[in-house]
Amino acid sequence: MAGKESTLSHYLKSPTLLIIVFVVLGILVARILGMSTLDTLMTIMYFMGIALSLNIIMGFAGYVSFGHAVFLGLGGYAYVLLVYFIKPLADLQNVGLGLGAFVVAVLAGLFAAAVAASVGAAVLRLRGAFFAIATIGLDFTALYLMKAIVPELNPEQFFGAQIILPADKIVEKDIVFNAMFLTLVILLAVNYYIRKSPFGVGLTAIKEDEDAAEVLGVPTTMFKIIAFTLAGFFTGMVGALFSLNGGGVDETLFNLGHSIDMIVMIVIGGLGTVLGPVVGSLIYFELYDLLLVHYPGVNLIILGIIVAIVVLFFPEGLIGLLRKYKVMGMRLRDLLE
Amino acid sequence: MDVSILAINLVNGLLWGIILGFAAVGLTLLWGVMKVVNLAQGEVILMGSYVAIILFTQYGLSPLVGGLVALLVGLVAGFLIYWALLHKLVGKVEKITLKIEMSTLLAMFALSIALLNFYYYSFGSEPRGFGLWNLGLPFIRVLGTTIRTNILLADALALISVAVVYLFLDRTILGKSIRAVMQDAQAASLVGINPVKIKLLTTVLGIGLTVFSGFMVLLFEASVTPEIAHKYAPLSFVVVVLGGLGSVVGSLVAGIIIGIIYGLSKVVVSLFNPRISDPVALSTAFIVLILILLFKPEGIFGRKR
Repeated sequence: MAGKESTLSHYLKSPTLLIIVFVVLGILVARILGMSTLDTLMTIMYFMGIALSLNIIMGFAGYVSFGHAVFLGLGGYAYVLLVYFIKPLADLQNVGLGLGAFVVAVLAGLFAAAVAASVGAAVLRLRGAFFAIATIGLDFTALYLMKAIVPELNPEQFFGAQIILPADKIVEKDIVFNAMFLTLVILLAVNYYIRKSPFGVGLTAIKEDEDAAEVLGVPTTMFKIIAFTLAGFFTGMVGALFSLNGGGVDETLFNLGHSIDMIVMIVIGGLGTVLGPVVGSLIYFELYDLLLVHYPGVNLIILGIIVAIVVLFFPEGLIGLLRKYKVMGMRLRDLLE
Repeated sequence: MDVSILAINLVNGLLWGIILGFAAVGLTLLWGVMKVVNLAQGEVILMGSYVAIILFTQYGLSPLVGGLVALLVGLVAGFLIYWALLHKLVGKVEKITLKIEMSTLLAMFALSIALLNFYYYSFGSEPRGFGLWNLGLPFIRVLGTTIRTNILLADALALISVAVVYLFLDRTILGKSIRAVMQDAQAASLVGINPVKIKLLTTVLGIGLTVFSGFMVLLFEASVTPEIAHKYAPLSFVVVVLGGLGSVVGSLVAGIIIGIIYGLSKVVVSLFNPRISDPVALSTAFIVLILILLFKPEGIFGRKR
């Protein structure tokens, strides 16, 4: 019993969990009170979702997947094609205030996960730049194959790789919000759990020194594949709900720009933590918005320069920077896990 | 199957492959010598295209002069990129760890975001080129098909450039030092080669050649948009991996192989469904990439690591 209490008090003292709960509640409260538009909240959740998804493989295991947009695209296309061609699934979307849409998104995520698992088994043997290049290759393979396959599925309706869902197959924004919110909560829980679990420790060991980890008995291959599959699964789900929100899908979902978004958010926030992507995505969203409003046109040029500065001078990101300091005699390092 | 269609596609694949191979030479040097993967490859290529276009459309200079200026701009850009981005990350480092490699990837990634959006901002997304400019004869007829002379000019320039780079690396002291650092940086510094100097030289040369290749890409494509960066960058990675890191000849050969695979798969897919032949043919290049990475990661001309 005493052990349990100390665990509980440990969790209460842990600001990470509190901040996560705060962010989640914040989104919910903002939604209920109408403090922010639905679109803004969707965008924030989308950014946070893709950052947290990639974090599983990039933050914890240190494998930078530059072509991770491929799973966004695969999830998006899987979802849209599922509800386009299978009537029961299109109807299911409206069931249970978003629970139905969530279930269809899980199916789409599973498709992305299947691709991640099978491709990951092969490409995760590669390290560093080679892995990064291989995932970029995967992204382009999927993109060009979609461009080839999609127009064939329904030549009268699909022009190029673009699919627009007819009005009877899209759902209200509220429902998409609920499904996305549920996905985000699960994603946060999974990230937090991984960080605390032996699995997460194994991934960190892989990041620090993969050969040493292997020697010490970490099943590196299996861990990497599981992490990559999870990352693919959740990216696919987010891509699915993002597409549903937009009422359709086109090939821009495979743009490397989406990979840039994910990586930049994790780098700004700090690698290897749960808070990093959460904080990073909030900063990125604000930055993105601010630059877009004040410097339209050159906003992304400035963003690139900011990223370069972060990489060169603050390679640990914001959380990494804060971890070095002490507050009230407590090392932030212990708190900001 | 009509034999001439096959021949036309093979010739086109070959002509394109030479350009592709030369475009990847700068990348292979940077990657081979410094373990820096230039993720801004496509944007750096476009720098050459746009320099030549500006000089042609705004100042009325001949594209041939523009190409030469592009090379000079590229050398300067290489100098700036080294001191602004790379020196802090890899300049003084003897052994490049995975972590440093990731930092350089991210730094070059940042450069690519900034450059790409600079192009969109300055030049828009509409295609730009030299218009109808040519060397006096727009087309020649070969094998019952017409080939633009600009493409032949681009290929000739690319082949000459590859030969010059090869001779430079093979014959001159500086070139030999670059190859020495590529093979073993520590041993090279033991025999008195200044690694910082070589890294600077490699970046200047690598970026310079890549920018110069943008001129050939423009001649080949007739017009460019910023979007073309996303076509040439990934293909350059394929070429470098296939040819072997640091191998100039490997890069050229791999470029030609990819060009011919593209041409062949286009013909084969056209037999079944001509509408989808282009995307499927492009995807084969990336399938080749993943297969090479898995089964022969050192590439055709690369050394086993």
